[in-house]
Amino acid sequence: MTVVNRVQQLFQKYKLPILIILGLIVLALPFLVNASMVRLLTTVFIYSLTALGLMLIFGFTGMFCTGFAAFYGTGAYVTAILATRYGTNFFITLICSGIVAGVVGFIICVPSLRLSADFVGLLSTALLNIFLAIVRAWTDVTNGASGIVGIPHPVIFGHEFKSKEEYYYLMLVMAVIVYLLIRNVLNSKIGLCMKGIRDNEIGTIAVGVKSRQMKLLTFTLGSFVGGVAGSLYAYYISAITPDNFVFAISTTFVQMCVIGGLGTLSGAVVGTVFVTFLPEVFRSLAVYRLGVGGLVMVILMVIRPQGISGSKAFAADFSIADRIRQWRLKREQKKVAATELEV
Amino acid sequence: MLLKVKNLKVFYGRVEAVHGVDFHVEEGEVVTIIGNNGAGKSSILRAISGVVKGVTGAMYFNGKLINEMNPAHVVKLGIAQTPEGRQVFPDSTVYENLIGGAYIRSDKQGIKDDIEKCYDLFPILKVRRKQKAGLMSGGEQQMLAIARSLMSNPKLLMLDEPSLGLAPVVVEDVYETIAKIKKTGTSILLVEQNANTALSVADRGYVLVTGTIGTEGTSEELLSNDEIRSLYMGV
Amino acid sequence: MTYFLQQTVNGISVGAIYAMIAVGYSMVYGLLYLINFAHGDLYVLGTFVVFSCMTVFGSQGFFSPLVSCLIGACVAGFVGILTERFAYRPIRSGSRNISMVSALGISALLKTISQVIWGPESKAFPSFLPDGKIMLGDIVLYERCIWVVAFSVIIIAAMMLIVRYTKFGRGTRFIMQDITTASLVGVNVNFVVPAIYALGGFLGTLGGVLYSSYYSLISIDIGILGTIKAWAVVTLGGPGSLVGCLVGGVILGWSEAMASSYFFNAARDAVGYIVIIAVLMIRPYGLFGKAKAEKV
Repeated sequence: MTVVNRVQQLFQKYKLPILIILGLIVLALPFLVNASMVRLLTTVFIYSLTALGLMLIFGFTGMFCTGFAAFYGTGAYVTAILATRYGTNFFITLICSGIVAGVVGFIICVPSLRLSADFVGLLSTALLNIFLAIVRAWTDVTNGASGIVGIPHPVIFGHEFKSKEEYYYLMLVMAVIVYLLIRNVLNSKIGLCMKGIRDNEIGTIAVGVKSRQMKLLTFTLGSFVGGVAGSLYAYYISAITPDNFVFAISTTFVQMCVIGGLGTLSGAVVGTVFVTFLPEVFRSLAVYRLGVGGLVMVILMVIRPQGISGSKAFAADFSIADRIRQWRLKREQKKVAATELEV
Repeated sequence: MLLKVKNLKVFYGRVEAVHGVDFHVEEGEVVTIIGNNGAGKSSILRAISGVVKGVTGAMYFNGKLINEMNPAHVVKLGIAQTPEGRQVFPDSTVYENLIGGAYIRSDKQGIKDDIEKCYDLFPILKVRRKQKAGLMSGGEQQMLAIARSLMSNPKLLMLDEPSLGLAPVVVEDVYETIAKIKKTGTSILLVEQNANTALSVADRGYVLVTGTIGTEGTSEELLSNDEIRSLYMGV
Repeated sequence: MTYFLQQTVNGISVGAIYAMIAVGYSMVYGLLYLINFAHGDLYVLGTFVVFSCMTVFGSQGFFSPLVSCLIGACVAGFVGILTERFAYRPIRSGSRNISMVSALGISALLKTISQVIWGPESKAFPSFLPDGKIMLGDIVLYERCIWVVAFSVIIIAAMMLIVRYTKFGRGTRFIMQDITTASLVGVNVNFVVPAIYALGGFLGTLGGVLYSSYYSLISIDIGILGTIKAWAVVTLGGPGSLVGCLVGGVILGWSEAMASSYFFNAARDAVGYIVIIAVLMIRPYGLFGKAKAEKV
């Protein structure tokens, strides 16, 4: 029984108390840690929503969406434009950003269904580039490469959220709400179809699920969530430029999903936490940080390919833990075999 | 002894598929391992060919320990496997598949001669020699797969369920060919679900039940064994 | 009209460079369907080595650049073999997403190594291609354009011959169809696959050198750009097709040249991608690609 399995078992057994304790800790954190940690955690909440959106697309439909930053960015820019020019209400802006991103996702998904997985990857990367090109060129609306600044603080029921603690709680609540909503969708009948497509698409089609429509739905939902996350992001950092949504950002979210465990909801959160905190752990290494982070990524894939929350079904045929076990067994065998050689 | 296997265990990750089997193949023999689905038959062949990594125990070929050898070296040693499900190279022509079988050889003339021999043994392949292998019928593909394995001039030919998915008439053809190969002196290790057919061509057999060898004996002994008859031949 | 032809010439030359960068990527991708995100950073590392060699040996004449290129390309090839052995082979049997994340990790690692050794600023890459020009009526045909195109075509043609007629090439074609069965007929997979990775790094470095000497620039940031360009070219041309590499590269280069001359600069990349999307809609597997049969 590996360490992770034991942790997972314990978690299953004591789910409710653990969640309550974790919840209390998270709620109390702003008073326990320093300012930069509070800010970091706030970004973790936002990024885990983004990862959640990508997880729906990547983990549940298998579509290789490396251009996800386009939806994230669309949500952010819609929010930026609406909030700075028209001063719209927070919730309306949030929903609008999500809807626009969802529509873009829908439009992108339709041709993607015809292509095999890898080609979707390039298609989405292409679209990301086109998105960036549009943003950079359409200076009237998006202010081009300089970006949009001065996005006002969110105002909910008259209260303006501007301190870092206020942002912390706001983003936490938003993230939890969206997470719960998605979880409910996944536990529904539609969600069952989505999980079916994730696990065994051909089998799911064989029982009569219309896989194309399901994928379209999942993709749109995922891009909607991405748009909402982008909106929250725009509110949080209050100034966005096209450089916030480049390809490298997209691949970071992909890493979060794979490391967390593709096809699991908790994987989005776990992966985000891991990928966000990893550079912080190595902060002292300055320029070596990126390289060491990359190395850790590789090592993690080799020793735990299914990701932290992922199920073994998605793992490679033969892992390092197995290899070590083999090696031990073989050492004993060799001792026995040496005495039996009589061919 | 050509092939000697002792206490072979095959692991897929943490799952033990084969629980310590012993068997051997003498030169010139046809030995069969029969068992139902999931008994571990293919795993044994994969272990011998070096294609699975989770192997403990000892496998000796002509006295040489071949555990976890690079599969290419196993072929060079003289063991060729016709895998389960034929596994021809679908985008290559029949001719290219046969040349592929001779990958480890460099004697051009010898290869040409052997291709002719294959065409004699399997006339249908000559007819279809320019066709893409993926477009052939199951029976033809099986012939091609066996011919391809023969192209490496193996000392031991291992066949993984050659009757799988084939119509009974085609199975007859395939087994006629196996009998012909036996006459040329090549040793054969045959793994099958179809006990009756396998035992008709084999000298000796082992019965594999969920990863362990239950009964063994000559094919006459097994064919007349009541338990085997009821379990595997519905008698 | 003259302007159009001039831009076409430029576009084709740049396209040939893209094709050269993409060849190495295409061979790895065609073999294992691994989206090698580390390709760009690998060949940038190689190009940096070439840069240092040229600084030491000088960059004029014939021998010095040739030796420098070979050294750099071999270093990249060797690093390619190392990454295959330790970062890709252990997870080869798993899903491709896993290898992809591993590749992203390697990309970061290689980029950091380049940064540590050569620093983060861009440097001027010595131009060793001849400087002359030939006038075709009103159009300027730079000598270096001819060299670039000729070089790419020759190398890609050589690769095609190797894949088609050598034993090694046959082995790669079998591995592309079914890697396990290939090993069962005696193809030494643990030799062929690293060799292809080495070729990827080697050829990529040659492409990177062409790129850097064409634009007189080298920096660690062109790694990711190169990976995406290579990916785009291979998708456009069709995975596993070397002809597709050449054609795809030229089409991409030409579209970009047209876009930046007739539209505006920011449109350059975007137009290239629009072309690719259009092609994919008509031919979902790229221009010369084939559908890969999925086993159900």
